[in-house]
Amino acid sequence: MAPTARNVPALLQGLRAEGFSGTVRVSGLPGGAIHLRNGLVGAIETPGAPTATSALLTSGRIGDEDWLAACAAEPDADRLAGHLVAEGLIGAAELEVVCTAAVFDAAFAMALSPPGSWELSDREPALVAEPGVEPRQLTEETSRRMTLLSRLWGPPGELTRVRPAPVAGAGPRGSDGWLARRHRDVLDSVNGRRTPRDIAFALGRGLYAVMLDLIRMEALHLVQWETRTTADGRPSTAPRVPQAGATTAAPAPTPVPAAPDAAPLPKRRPGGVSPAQDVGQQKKGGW
Amino acid sequence: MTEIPPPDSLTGILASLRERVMGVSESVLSTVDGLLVVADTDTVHPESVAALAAATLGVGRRMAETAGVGALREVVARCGSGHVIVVAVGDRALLTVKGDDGLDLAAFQRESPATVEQLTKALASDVAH
Repeated sequence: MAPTARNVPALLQGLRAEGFSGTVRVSGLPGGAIHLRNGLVGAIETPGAPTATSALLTSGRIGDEDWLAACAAEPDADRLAGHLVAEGLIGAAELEVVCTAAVFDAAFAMALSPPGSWELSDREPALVAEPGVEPRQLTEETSRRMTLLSRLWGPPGELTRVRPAPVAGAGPRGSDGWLARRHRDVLDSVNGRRTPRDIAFALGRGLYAVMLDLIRMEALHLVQWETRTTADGRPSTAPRVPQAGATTAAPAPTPVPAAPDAAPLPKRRPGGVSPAQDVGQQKKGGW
Repeated sequence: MTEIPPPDSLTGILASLRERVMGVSESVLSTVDGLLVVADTDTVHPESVAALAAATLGVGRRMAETAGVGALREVVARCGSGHVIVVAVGDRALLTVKGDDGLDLAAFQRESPATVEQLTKALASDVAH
């Protein structure tokens, strides 16, 4: 019955009723793998959001050597959680929080673009939350997040494509007395190249949390949206093909006016101009 | 996404790969003898990557030959918090791509041949006259 479901939430609901244990591979951009245990969602792997493993390792919560030793001692990733706790590398409650948060975050990340088809496969070992998340709860929370982002900012799908840049000389940056540590971390990793998803991976934090922080920081004039998709005018030693048209790499996906018209080849500018200073006027006015 | 007209500058081609594949963060185009051609980088040192790319691909090729597993497609280094991939661009150049932990490898393998072809074409004019 399950494969005939009309969408992924309905599919998961059906699999919950069956008590299915296994993996649902969803195609699409980015797509992902949903690991189910007794019908509950234990883990989701998607290029769109950091997994629990990523969050633990990137943040340094668990050291790389400890991690490798644990993986060697417990080859079945499903039982890895118990082993990490038994080894005293992390508390059971903390691990559950991290794993569960990663499930919600990944479901949100996958909901940001239309899903493709799916197929069911046997159980693939994964670091899973115990006992896992009820599919209905997952669907409701995902909708809540999408609604909130739509209200705060605009279409969440477009927020995935912005490339925030720090506002030059943002006042509060120096006097960080009141700026939360996590905001400073985000501020340190925005550079006009990274999307919210890239920042989430760089920090080992959830995509949704990073998006909320960015929205807040844009309101505080700490960051601005970089919308150009072309590379900056870095000089190249290689010859370029004769000018046949625009030099833009790809159409700007956001509803902001595109970068200045593509004209002749990029030129080196005296003094060097960083992209951050280049886009002072391109502030998104969508809220 | 594939209907986007190919960019015609080398940096544009590299930036386009970053746009199309989730998790690609930086890339460096270099010559087989380890010299930097052009880079779309943020944190890595382009010249160092260019030099190491030549060595990496050379060792990878010899390993493929010794192991008898056919022609080398690409060298993928899977690391603690990301990936580094080196792929040949024609006979004279190399492309090194740095990706994060969530790099969409399937998408990379789907998109990289087009990028390599665009780069090859753009570089062909080097020896055309």
